[in-house]
Amino acid sequence: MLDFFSASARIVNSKRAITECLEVAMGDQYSTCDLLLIHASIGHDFSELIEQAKILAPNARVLGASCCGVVGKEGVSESLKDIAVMAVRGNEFAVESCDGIFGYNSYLKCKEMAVRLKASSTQQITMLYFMASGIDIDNNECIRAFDEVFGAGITIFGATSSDNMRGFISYQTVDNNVFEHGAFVIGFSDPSLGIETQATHGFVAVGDPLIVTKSEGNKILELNGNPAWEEYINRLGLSSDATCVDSIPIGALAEELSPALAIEYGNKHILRAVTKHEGSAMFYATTIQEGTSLWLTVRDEDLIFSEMDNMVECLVEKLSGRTPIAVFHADCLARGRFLFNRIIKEELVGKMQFPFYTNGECPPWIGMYGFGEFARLGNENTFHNYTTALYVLCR
Amino acid sequence: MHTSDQYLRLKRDFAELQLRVTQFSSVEQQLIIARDSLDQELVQYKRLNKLSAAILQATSELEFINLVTDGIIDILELESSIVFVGDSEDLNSGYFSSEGLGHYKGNQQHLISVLFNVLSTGNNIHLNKEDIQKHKELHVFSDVLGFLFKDDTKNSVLLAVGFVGVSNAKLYRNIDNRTKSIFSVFSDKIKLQFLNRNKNTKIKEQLERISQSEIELKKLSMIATNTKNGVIIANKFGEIEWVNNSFSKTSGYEMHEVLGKKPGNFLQGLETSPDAKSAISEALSKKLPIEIVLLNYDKRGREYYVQLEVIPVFNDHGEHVNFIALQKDMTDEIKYQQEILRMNSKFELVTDSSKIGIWEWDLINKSGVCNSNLRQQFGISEEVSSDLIFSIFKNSILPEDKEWVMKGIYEVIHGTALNVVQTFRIENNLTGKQSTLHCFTLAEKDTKGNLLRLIGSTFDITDSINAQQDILEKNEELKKINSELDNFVYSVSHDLRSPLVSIKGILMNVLRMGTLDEKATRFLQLAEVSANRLDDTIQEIMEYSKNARLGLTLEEVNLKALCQTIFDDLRFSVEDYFEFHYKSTISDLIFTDKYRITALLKNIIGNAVKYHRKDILNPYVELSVKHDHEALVLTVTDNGIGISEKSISRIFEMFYRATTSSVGTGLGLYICKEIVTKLNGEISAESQEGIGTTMLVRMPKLNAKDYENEIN
Repeated sequence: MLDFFSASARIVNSKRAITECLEVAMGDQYSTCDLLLIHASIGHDFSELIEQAKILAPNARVLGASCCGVVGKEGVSESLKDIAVMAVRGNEFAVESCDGIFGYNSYLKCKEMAVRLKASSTQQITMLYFMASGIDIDNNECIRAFDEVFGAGITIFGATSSDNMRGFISYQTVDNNVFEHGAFVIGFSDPSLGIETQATHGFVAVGDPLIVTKSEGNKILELNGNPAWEEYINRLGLSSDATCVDSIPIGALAEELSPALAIEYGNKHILRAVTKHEGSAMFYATTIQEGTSLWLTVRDEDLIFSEMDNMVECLVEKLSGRTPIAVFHADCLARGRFLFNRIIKEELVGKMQFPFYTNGECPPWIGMYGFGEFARLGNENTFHNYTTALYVLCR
Repeated sequence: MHTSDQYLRLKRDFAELQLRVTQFSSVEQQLIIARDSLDQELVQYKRLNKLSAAILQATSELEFINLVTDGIIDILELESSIVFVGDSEDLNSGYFSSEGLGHYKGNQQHLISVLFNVLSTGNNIHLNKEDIQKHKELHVFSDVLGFLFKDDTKNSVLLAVGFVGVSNAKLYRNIDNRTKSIFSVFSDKIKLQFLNRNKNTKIKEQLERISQSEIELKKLSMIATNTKNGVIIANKFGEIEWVNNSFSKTSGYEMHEVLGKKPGNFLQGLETSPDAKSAISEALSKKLPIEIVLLNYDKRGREYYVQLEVIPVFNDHGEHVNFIALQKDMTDEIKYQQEILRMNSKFELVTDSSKIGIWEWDLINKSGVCNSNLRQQFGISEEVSSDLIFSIFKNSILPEDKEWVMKGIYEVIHGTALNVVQTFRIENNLTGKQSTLHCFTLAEKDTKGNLLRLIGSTFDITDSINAQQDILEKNEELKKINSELDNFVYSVSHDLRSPLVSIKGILMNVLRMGTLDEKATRFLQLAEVSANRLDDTIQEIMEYSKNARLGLTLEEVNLKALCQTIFDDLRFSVEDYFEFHYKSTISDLIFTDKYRITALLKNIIGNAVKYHRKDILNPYVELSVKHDHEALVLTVTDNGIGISEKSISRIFEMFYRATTSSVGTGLGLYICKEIVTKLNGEISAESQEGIGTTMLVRMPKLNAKDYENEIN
């Protein structure tokens, strides 16, 4: 049976940071950790984090990802020196990883990982935690690969890693390796664990859509018959020298959902982010078909709050009395300090965490501000952008 | 205007409006970013304040350096930093600390010397890409922000520099005016704290001392308030100024009732020792500390004992200012002491009555004590000094016992034994009378394991030993008598049988002559029957006697062959048809006493034959043999006349006859039981009248090894 422990901190020195987190999470039992998941802001030295983690928990598989900020039981922090960990004790899990994953080979890389993972696990895998580079990746293809191997009924949860919203680099670490275009997947096989996931954004689509007139995999080459990037930033009112740093906070693109999914989602649109552009080509987060309509969006703070409440209520209802054992939380970096001020954000996270308390205590909680989130929609594994997604592991 | 024109205009306006909405998002975002920038600046200033507070608490220069190193990165949000503090003339003499410089492959000491040359003393310097190009050693950085500060009074320098590396520059904010202004405040604070660091240390020490004093004061106050002992603080005249809760609880007086009063005036009473009172008065008048046990009276007049400690308190000038009195409630302790004394006297009474001698030998002071019983046992008069007790004890032991008794006691002294229990003989020092004592000796040690004293008890068992001896002697006598009786019985039986056999022979011959008339023949036949019965009885008495007299003789016996012989003997004594069966699940060869097993089986099988039913066609007896775990089990079953329920429990009694038929002597089954008992076994019977009887014999299974042991 798996046990979960979490902690978060803002400490400059990477070794001290990981040490403090492990001590806070597990007390003097940190050497018994079997799986350590680290989310750290881009200012940390990932090699040092891993090196120290391996000293403290020599038997643990150490996995990590970079992000723009973290959320833990201790609250929210968005600086260059944040760290959050989820330490797991128990052996009902298996891990696979890869390097060199991009938009064009997302399916192949994930299929290989999935096959290896299935082969290496001695027990039935019941859920998958997936973490990949958030820059130039086709997340729909990743989901397709995992669904083919494990079946669409197995929930994929997780996120895509990021930097501090520069769209410059993101790191993924697997044991002693630090990747820039890597991915890892954890297959949990504890039969006593269940999972409930949900995501919400609270944005509203406006205006006439942009029509994808030319695309290639996850790259949009033309919008409305014009070079994609130029058309996009023009519609956003940005100057021609704008970068993704400028476009990400305001440039959420919306795809229309089917009426049935829209009811479940609480919103007519699902959002997508552009995390990179090369010349006119925009790197979309999923495969994009020509002819797809993409709406620009504006955020609606009231809707953000009300949808958040709905999501938490809905998750609590789905738990049906089961106890939350650990919560994994993926939030879009654009929903961080470039959307809300610190006070509102703390309030949002507080409202999000409180309903999952057991005996007055927050369950182990690890959250990150990244580029994208996975959560089920319409009973299918789905990739989301610009959302807050919660994954509640329960027993 | 045409409708189509209106439509087109409206559509154009709508598109423009939507464009404005999205573009408004962009403007709004700029505002959010500006707001975040201000918010971030506030956060940075807060972090700076926190750093200043932490530096004030720093206990060493190294800690100061480490805090500044972290502060540069945390507050200014730069990638890496280096801080040096040392002698301005000798860069090798100081300390430095760096953080996040993993990507800098050069020597950090060398980097410090380069920075010394680049940064001019006093000012904050920002080196941008162009400036950095001039210094080859700094090419890995895209931004360098730092200062070099000299403390002329101490001839020491502080170098504090933050960097952003070229490779990660895209991840870091540009060094803009905002960063520079924060850095300016940062550097001012750090420089000031660097200058005042000695002063800070002194302030910190003073603060710590004050804090320590406050803690001590709090501790003392807590102790005085919460201690279970009563505390009284009185002025120099002995008038109460403060009492704690424990005092009120013990005495029943609240603080307001006793303020200004002298404790002796209301706590002491009739039974309080006058000596104790005057000792306290004298100590108080001389302003000396005193410790004494005292009887006090509470508010309701009840007695309680206290251990009182009065301490005079003097100020820094040596003037007497207060008395502090601590009262420990001793009532329970004194009650316990009294109870212990009472128990002790009872114990002494018990030991006196039970004639147990108690002795104790102090190994350190070489002196001993003993109770009156011991003095009586050893003949130690009351006048004998305590240092001689042990030597009298030792010398009273009879010479033949003394060596091993003392050896045992020395084992206790040397710690090789915890205690020793011995029985030995002594000669009374005064009367010369010998007696036997049962003695228990143990050692008492201190907490470190050092031997303190020997403690022992002695109990005179002379009478008991004598009684035991009497019993042993009488036992031996009894055995002898029994043996003689057995021999006598055997001899008599044997001697009686010889003439009887002659009588039987004569009777048989006379009867065979055939010359007697019918009446004489009848009488002689009756005489023959009686003679036979007498012979059977004598033979059985001899058998019994033989079983009692002789020891076991184990040998290998072929049980099947033995049974066959018994069957053959009996086959001819029975006039009717009779079946004999032998069943065995074990080897025919067993180890046992041949004489006894033969007698046993002869009796049991013989009974089956004797008491068979004449009204059935297939009378039989069956002997079955098996092993059951470690037992040899012999079962003899017949379909004879059986034994009545009222008789079955008595059949193994001597001379008990379950039937009135003339054939039994009443000794057969009694002998069987004796034999089985001798063989360490058990015999039992089950029977139903008219159906038959089963005799069950269980004996230990013996093997060749038992036989060998027997031989040896």
